[in-house]
Amino acid sequence: MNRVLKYAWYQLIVVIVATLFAAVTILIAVKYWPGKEFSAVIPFCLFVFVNFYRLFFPLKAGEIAFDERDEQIKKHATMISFNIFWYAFILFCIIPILTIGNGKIHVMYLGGALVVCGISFRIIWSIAVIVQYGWGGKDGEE
Amino acid sequence: MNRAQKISLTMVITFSLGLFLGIILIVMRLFDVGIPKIAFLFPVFIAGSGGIISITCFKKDKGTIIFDERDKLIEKNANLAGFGAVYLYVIVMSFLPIGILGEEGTIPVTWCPALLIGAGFCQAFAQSIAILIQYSRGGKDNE
Repeated sequence: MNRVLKYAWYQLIVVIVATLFAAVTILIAVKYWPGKEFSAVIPFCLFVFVNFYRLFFPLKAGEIAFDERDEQIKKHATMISFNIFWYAFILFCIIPILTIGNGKIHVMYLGGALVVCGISFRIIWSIAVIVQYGWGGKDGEE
Repeated sequence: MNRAQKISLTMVITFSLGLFLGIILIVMRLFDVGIPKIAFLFPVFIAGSGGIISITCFKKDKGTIIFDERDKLIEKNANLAGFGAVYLYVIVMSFLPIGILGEEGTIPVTWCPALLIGAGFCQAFAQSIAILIQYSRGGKDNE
C-alpha cells in the first residue's frame, strides 16, 4: 500500500474512533456526571493520535514518501474537503437564522460548529484520497 | 500584467481600504464619537466594490492563448491559500466569542451571516494576495 493511502486509512480510522469515543464520553458525562467540572480535553484526547502517524509508521531507508501524482491527489483531496468545509460553515451560519430568527445563540454553538466542520474536513480528505487511489487497489501500490 | 493579476490587485486595494475604514469606524465608535451603525456598511461596500470593478472593467484578454498550465497551477494554489485563510478565520471567530464572553455567554443570531460575509472577504483577500505573490516570483514571465 502506498504511503499516502496508508496515511489516509490511518487518519480515517483514528478520526472515526476518536469521534465515537468523544460522543460516548460526552454522553456519559452529561448523564452520570451533570453539573460537575469536566475538562473538554478528555473526550477529544484521541484526536492527537492523527499526528502520531510518523511515529507509528516511520519512513524506511530508501522508501519514497510521495511522487508528483501523490502530490496532485493530496491537493485535489484538500480542495474537495475545503469545499465541503465551506458548505458546512454556510449551513451552520444559516440554520440559526432560519430556526431562531432574531434571537440569541449560545457561544459554544460556534465552537461546536468548528469541531464538526474540522472533523468532517479530516474524514472527507481521507475518503477523497482513498477514492482517488481506487479504494487501495493495485493503483495505490508502491 | 494579465487579467488575474489586475483583478487581484484591485481586490487587494479595495479590501485593504475597506478594512482600514472599518478599523477607523470601530475605533471612533469605541470613543463614542457618535457614528451610526449604518455607517459600517460603507467599508463593506468599499471592500465589495473590488468585485464589481473587476467584472465591469477587466474584460477577458484578447489572443489565442489566454490561459496556460502555469496559470492553472497558480489559480489552484491561490484557491488553497484562500481556503486555508478561511479555515484560520473560522477557528479564530469560533473561539473569540468564547474567550471574550465566557462559556455561558450568548451572541445575536445576526452575527452568523456577518461571519459568513467576513469569511467570503477573507478568502478573496488571501486568494488575491496569493495570486500576486505567485506571479511576482516569475518576474516578466507572466507578461
